[in-house]
Amino acid sequence: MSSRDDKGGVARRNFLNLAVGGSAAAFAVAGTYPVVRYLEPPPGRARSASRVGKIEEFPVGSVRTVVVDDRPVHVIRTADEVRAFSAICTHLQCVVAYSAEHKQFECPCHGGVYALDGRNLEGPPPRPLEELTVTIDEGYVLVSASG
Amino acid sequence: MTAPDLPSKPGGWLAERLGWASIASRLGGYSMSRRGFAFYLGGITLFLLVVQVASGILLTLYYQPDAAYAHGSVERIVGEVAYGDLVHAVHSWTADLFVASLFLHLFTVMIRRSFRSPHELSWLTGVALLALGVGQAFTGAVLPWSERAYTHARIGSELARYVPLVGGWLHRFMRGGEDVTSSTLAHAFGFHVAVLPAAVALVLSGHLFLLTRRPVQRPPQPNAESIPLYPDFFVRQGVALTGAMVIVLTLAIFVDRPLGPVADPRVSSAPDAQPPWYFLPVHAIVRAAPKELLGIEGPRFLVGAACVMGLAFVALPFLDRRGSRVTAWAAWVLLVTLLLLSLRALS
Amino acid sequence: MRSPSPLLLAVFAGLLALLGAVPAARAVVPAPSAAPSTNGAASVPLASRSLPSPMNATNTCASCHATLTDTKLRTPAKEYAHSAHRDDRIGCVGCHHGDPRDPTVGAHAKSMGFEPHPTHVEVPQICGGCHSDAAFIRRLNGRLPVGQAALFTLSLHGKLTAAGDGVAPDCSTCHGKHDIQPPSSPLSPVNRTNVAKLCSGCHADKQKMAGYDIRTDQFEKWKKSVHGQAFAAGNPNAPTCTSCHGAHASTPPDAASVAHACGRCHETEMQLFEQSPHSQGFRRRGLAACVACHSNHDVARASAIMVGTGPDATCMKCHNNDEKPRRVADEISNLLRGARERAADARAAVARATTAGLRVSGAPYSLDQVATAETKVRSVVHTLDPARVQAVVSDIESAADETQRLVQSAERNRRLERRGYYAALGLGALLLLALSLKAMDLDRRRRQGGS
Repeated sequence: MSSRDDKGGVARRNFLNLAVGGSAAAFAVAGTYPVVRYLEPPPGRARSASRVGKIEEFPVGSVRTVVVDDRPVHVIRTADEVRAFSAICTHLQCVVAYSAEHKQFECPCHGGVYALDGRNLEGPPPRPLEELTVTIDEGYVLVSASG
Repeated sequence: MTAPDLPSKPGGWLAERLGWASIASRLGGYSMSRRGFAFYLGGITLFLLVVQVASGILLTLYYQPDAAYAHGSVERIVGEVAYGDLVHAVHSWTADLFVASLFLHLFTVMIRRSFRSPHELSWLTGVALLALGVGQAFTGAVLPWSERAYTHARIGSELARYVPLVGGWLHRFMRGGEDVTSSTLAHAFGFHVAVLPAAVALVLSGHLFLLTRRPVQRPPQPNAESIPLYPDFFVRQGVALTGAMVIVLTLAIFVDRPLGPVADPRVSSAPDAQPPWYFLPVHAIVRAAPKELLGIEGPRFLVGAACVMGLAFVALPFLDRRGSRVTAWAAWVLLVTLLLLSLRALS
Repeated sequence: MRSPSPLLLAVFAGLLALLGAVPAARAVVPAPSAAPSTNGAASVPLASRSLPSPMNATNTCASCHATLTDTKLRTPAKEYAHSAHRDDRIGCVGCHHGDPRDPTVGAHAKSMGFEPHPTHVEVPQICGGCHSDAAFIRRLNGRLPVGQAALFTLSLHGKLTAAGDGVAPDCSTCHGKHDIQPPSSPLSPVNRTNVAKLCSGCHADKQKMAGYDIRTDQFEKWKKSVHGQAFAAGNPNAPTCTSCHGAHASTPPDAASVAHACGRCHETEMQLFEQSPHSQGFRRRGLAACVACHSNHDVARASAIMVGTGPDATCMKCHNNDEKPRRVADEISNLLRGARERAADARAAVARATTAGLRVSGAPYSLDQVATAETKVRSVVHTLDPARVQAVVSDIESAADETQRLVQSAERNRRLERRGYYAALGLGALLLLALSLKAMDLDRRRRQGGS
C-alpha cells in the first residue's frame, strides 16, 4: 500500500515539476519576445524635401556640401542644371569629399573616385553615387531625401 | 534524502556540473517560518528591483536626456517603439510597487523588531536602501519632463532647501544649478541611471551579505510551523514573485498612465498637480502648514521635524529597549498617521 | 615702463582736439554768415537749405516760448523738444520763419517771413520744401525717403487740399504738428498699429464725409473682416488701410485695379484668376475682380460654401439661372466637399489614435501633405476649371488615404499586441497555479515525512 502511495506521489511530483518548469519556460518566452521586438528600432519617418538654400548661394560651377536629414549631400550647379548626389560612398559608406583640383569626388577611406555626374570611375565602389531629386521652388533649392 | 526534489531528467546534467546537490542540501539546512507574509517582502522587493533595472536599461535605449527632446522621446517610446508602451508602463508601475514593498518591508521589520542585535547593520543598510529608493523615485519622476515632472522637480528640490545644515547644498545639488532647467534634467538622469543604481548595488550587496551571515531568526512563537529554506520556502517565494509579476503586468496592461503635456515654464503649475502617492503625506503637510511655527518658517519647521524623526528612525536599533513594545506602537502610529495624511492630501 | 600704446595716444589727442573745438564753435555761432537770401522769400522758404544754417543752432524761439504762461504758446515749444524735428539746425524757424537770433518780439518780424499759422494749402509746400529736397534730407537723415509731397499732390487728398477744401487732410492732419514722430514710432498716428484708427477718424465720421459721395462703414467692416481680425490678433502681415490704398498717393482702387491691390499678397490666387473665364467676363462687364465674390472691406474667411449652387454660394449672385455655370459650380463644390470629408476623416483617425496613446509613425507627415494640398486647392478654385481642381483634390485624397492606412496598420498592430498580452498573463496565471500546487504537495509530503 505504501509503495503504491509512493508511486502515485512520484508521478504527481514529476507532473508538478514538469508543469512548473513548462509554464515557467513559456512565461519566460512570453516575456522575452516583447523585449527582443523592443530592441529593434522603429522604422524612420517619411521625410519631405528639405530646403538647402537660395539658388544664389549655389553659383554656377560650384559644388557645395549640405546636410539633408542628417546625411551629407553634394549639390552641384552646372551651366544648365542643379544636381544633388548623396555623399555616401557606395563601397563602405564613408563620406566622399569633393576635390576642386581634380574636379571629382574622392573617397578618403579606400580610394574610390567618382565623376561629378556620380559615375564610379576608380577604386572599389560598385555603383555610382545615389542621385537625389532637386527641385527649384520660388528661388529656393529643395533636395528630397531619396532619389 | 539529500536532494529530494530534483527535476532528475532534464536538469540532471546541468545540476551535476553545478554541484547543485550540495548547494540544495545546505540551503535545505536553514529553516523558515511557514506562515507570515513579512518573510516574503524582502524577496519581493529584490525581485521588483530586478524588474526595474531590466526595464530601465531598456528605456535608456530610446530615452534622450535633454529638455528639448526628453518628452518627445518618451512619447516615441510609448507610441512608436514596438512594445515600448509595455516597457514604459512596467517601469512606471513597478516603481510604485517597489517603493510600496520597501515601506512595507521596513514596517514589518519595525513591528517585529527584527532590527535588534545582531541585525543593526541589516537595519541601517535597509534604511539607506529606502533613502536611495526614494531618490530613484524622485529622479525618475523628473525624466519625462512633462508639466507634472517639472512641477515635481520644482517642489521637491525647494523642500530640500529646508533640510537643516545641508539644505542649501542639497537644493543646488538636486537642481543641478540655481533653478530648474535643462541641467536639472541632465543631473536627474545621471543620478537615476548611474549614481544611485551604483549606490544601491553597493548597499544591497552589504544587506544581502549580512543576511547570509546572520540569518533572520524565526519569530519567537512556540507553535509556529517551520519549513526548510529549500525547496519549500523557495517554491512559496516563487508563488509570491509570480504573483507580483502578474500584478505588475495586469496594472501595466489595463491601467493607463498618461504622460501628460510637455513641461512649459510659461504654464502655471497645474492646480491638480499631485505628487506620486508616496509623497502625499508631505503634500498634505506642506499644504496645511502655517506660515510660521514657533517663530520658524513653516516649511523649515516641518522639514526639520521630519529630519529629527528620520534620525530617530535610523537609530531605532540603538534606542529600542528589550521587552518594550514602544517601537511596535510607534510603527503603527506612524503608519496610520501617514495613511491619514495621504487621505487628507487626496481630498 | 612701456611706452603708451598708439591707441591711447590717439584717444588722448582726440579729447584735446574736442576741448579746443568747443569754444571755437561757440565763437562762430554769434557771428553767422547772415545768409540774406534766406530771408524774405516766403513762397520758397529756406532757399539755401542745402546747407543747414548754423544760425538756427540757437533756438531762442523754443527757450522763450517754454517760459510763457499761455498754454497755446507754450505747448508747441514743449512738444517740439521730443519731436522728430528736435534738431536745432531745423528749429522752429524751419517752418515758421522769423529771426531766431533776436531774443525780443522782433523775432516775429513779418519782414523775416514770420508765419504763425500756415494754412491748409501752405502746409504741404512747407513740408515739401525740405522733404522734396533730396540733398538736404540726405544730410540730416539718409534713411528718409523723398518725394512724399509730390505723391501727395497726385492723391485725391492732395488735389482737394490744393483746391482749398477745408476737410481734406494736409501733412499735419496725419503726421501731427509740433510733436511729429517718425512713422516707425508706435507714438506716431501713422504707425502701422495706429493708421486704421487715424483714417477712420475722418472716414467713419458721417458729418465730415457728408460733402463727399463716400461711405463711412469701411472701418467697422474691416474690423470684422478676416484681415481686421488677423490684425487684432497681432499678425504682422495683416493688411490695414494703407496696405491696399497706399499712403501719400492714396487713391481708391477701382474695378480694373483692385485685383492688383489684392494680388500684392494673394499673388497665386490673382494669377490663377486671370487664367479663368471670369477674368475676361468681369472686365467686359466692369465688375471688380476679387471684390465681386469676396467683397472688399468686410472680406470674410474664404470657405468652400462660397462655391456651388446653395443659398450661401457666391456663384448664385450672378449665375442663378445659367445652366452651364451652375453645372461647373456643382461639380467643383462636390469635389471640394469630397476632399474636405476625406481630410476630416483622416484627421479624426489620427486624433482617435493619439487619444488611444498611439503615435502613428508617418501620420504627421501625411497630414502635412493633406494640409499643403488643401492650401493649393483654395488657390486652384480661382481657375474655375474642374479638371485642375480635380488634380489637386486627388492629391488630398491620396494623402488622406495614406494617413488612414498608417493609422489602421498601427491599430491592427496594437490589437495583436493586446492579444499577446492576454496570452502572457494567462501563462503567468498558469505558472502561479503550478507553483501553488507544488507548494501544497511539498507541505503534504513534509507533514507525511514528519508524522
